[in-house]
Amino acid sequence: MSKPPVEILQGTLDMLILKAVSLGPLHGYGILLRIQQISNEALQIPQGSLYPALYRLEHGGFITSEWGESENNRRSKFYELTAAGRKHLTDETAYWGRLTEAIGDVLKARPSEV
Amino acid sequence: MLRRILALFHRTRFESELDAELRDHLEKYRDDLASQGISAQEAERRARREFGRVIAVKEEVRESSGLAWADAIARNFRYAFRVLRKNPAFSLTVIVTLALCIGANTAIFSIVDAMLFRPLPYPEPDRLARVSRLDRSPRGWYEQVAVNGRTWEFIRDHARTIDVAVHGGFEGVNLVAPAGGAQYVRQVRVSTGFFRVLGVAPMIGREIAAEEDRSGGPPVAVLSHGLWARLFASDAGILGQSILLRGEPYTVVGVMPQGFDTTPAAELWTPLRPSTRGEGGGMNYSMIVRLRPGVSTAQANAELETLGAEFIAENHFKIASMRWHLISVQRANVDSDRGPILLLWAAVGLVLLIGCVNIAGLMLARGGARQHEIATRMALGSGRGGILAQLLSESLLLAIVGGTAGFALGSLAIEALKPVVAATLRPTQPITMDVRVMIVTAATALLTGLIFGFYPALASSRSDLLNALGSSSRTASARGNAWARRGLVVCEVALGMVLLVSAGLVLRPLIYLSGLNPGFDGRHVLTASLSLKDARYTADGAVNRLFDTSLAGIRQTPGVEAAGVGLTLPYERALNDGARIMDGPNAMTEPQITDLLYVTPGYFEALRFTMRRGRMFEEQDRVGAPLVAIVNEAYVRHYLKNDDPLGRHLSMAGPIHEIVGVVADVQQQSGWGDFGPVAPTPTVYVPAAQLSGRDMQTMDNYYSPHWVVRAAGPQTGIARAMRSAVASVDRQLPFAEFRSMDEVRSGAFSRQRLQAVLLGSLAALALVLAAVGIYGLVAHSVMERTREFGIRLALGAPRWQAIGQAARPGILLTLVGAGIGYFLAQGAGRLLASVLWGVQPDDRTAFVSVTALLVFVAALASLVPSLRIARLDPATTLREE
Repeated sequence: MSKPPVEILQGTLDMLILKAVSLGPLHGYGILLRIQQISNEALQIPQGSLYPALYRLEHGGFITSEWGESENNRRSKFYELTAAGRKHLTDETAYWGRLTEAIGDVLKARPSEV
Repeated sequence: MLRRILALFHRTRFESELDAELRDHLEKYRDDLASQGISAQEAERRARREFGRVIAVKEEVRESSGLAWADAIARNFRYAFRVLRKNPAFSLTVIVTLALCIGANTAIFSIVDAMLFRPLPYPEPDRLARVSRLDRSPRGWYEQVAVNGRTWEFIRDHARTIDVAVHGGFEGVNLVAPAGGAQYVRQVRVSTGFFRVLGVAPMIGREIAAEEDRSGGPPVAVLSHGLWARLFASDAGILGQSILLRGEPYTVVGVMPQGFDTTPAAELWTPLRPSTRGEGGGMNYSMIVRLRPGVSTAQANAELETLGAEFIAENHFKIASMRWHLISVQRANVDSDRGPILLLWAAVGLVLLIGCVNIAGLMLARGGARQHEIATRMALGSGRGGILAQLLSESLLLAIVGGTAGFALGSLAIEALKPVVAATLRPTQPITMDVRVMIVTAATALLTGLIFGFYPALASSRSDLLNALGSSSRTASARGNAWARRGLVVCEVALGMVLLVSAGLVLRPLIYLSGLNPGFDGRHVLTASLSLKDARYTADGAVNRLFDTSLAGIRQTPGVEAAGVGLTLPYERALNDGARIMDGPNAMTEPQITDLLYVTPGYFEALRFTMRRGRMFEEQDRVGAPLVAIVNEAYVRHYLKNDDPLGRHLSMAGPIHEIVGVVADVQQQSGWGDFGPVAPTPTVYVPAAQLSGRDMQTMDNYYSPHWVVRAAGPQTGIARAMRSAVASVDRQLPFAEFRSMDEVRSGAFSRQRLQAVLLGSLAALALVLAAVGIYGLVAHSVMERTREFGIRLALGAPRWQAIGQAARPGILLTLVGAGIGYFLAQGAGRLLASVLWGVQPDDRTAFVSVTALLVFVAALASLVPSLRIARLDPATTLREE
């Protein structure tokens, strides 16, 4: 069962990538598939925008990459979370939780509660 | 171009990996779509659409991965290139200035490096050293690198921290190879262990053994690779063969590897057989030592200090102020040339400094003119850092281009200098453009780029936005910059003055030396020496038979006017010996030092010496006839004073000669006294035919006699006639080298000439640079003030007045610079005088003529751009803007 697709919010892509690779080393296409799969196809990431984000994260030291072999004997570049990346992901997740809670509270507010 | 170079360094790998990764992604996506039953065509279309344009993605990736700086650099350089191409006059001036400065620095550094810095071509060269002896004299410590036989033996037998060997000086000798043909070769006699200390084993065979290195030991020789290849056709079976050296058979025991050489340079090495008497009684040996493993220089010096004290005690020396210590081999080899070379290096550094000052001035001027552009860019959002980076990129680009051109110029200069320097300074290592020189050149160019680029860049980027944009581009030029530029011009004039005065001071001794009256007539005189260090020329009479027969043959050659043989030549070093005046008011109790040489009849005639009194030597002055001598005027002045020299008697360590003539002075190099490079030194001439075989042999051991032949005019074939005349007596005697007497004369002060030429060139360069700087300053200010001058002219000011006003700052700044330079130059003069002979630090003529030259050139450089005003049309000027 799939939900209708939604655009991802500005700034959340990094977090999603970190989460995807926190479950195990993945190549770029794999990261894309995993995010779509976990979100039941709800999150559609423009394929082209994945790579700038990956390189930005790598440059920031949150992920590292290594060339390896993927299915069909292809040479692919695999990304893996670093310790700094793991910490970053935890922080971001906590922050995201507080943010959505706060926004949810605002949106759910009824006239009597104001 | 630059972009490509940068890409090569930083980007190739990155790009190819990114390509591979994106390709991999797209293929995986296509495969997925295909597995869902979508046609290949449709899959391709969807992949394209959903992925976006690959190029755009890559661009984004690059920016997010921290590679943006590489792009920025490439952009800066591209922009710099365009800016510089748009201002060819400016760019060319800077590039040519840089090329000249860097070229000069490269060339001089190659000499400095070969003489002073490049490690010697032996293993672990920093563990090699020479032993020097310091003696305290009333004038301070006196250093001597040579040692005598007793010192050598003492150190050899007692030193534990160093491995030691000893060698003699260079000797030119005759070699007869089995394949035939006599050759003049360079020989150095060395002790056993010499090659071991240097750390180079013979390529084939062995080095000289201990039993061969003692008096009466078997005569053996080690050949250089070059000699082995030239005379023995690289025969591997050479070992054990016999060669005739100095008329005696020597057995070849080894051949050194290619490229191996020693100081002094040699083609073969034979046993030194050091002794404590004769040769070993004087300071005629040089020691070479290698620190033993694990020993430091300090430890070795400490041991030598102790040994020195024991040596003094053992020999009951009266002076207790002798000390032995180690000095670097290079330092010992270069000896007295070290000071002049370092000074030359400083001079070329000064030229570079002037060049930098000059370029900084140009950059400042242009920065002023560009303030409008810079302000615009800042207004459009360029940060100060960006502008700074941009201006530095321009400087660096200029430095790279100028440095490359300078490198090429430097290589040419090195090629031109190489033969002269090799003949004059005799560096132990070749003067080449090697990696070391290249690195220094590159570093100089880049550092120069940073130095001359930094201040102007800083000054320009500090520009006041509103001011610059609000006013018109011409008047915007910062007044502060103008003062900085004036300061720079004063600097370069002052530095130029230092160089010019130095060149003038160094030129004066050269002028003095070349202007000396030679005392003889060297035109059409050819000379050549041959070595009589030969076992076949020890018997009484053998040498004189050679002289007489060969000279008779030469005199028969058509066109030969006169021919003779003398031990040494004018303008060269003569033998120093003692002579005692026996009678008259100036009779001596002890022999007094004098130059001494034997000559045959014909020597004075060939060189056209002037007879002042008495007679020349004649054929009847032989053994059995009364012993005679001729002295020169200097000898009379020095020792005989007012006494009539004719008829006085001289004791020459035994035989007593009567003075029968006085010849006019000729210039000679003296090994004693305080005569300068060449001077008329007191000299005694004796007939070759009246010397005993033993005295002759002693003299021939130190010097090789010279044949001098005067031709009626410029003539070829004399050398051939000389060769065949000698060959008719002895086929195994090769002449060393034929020279004209003019070459001999100019060779006597080749050092002074080289110094003057090099320093003169540098000074000329400095003058040109200073002129360019002044010209640039005045031209720029004339351009800036065109409007002002136009108004003045329109108001009726005379043109000459306006021209004078425009030119005045250049001349005034020159006078200020020259004034400062005057004081600096006095310091430089004192420094020069301390290392170079004949330099008078308070040489008025040099100072005055140099100042005049500088002011004249400055006036010219100021006036030429000012003359633009003469062609100025006030109406047009005022209408502009």
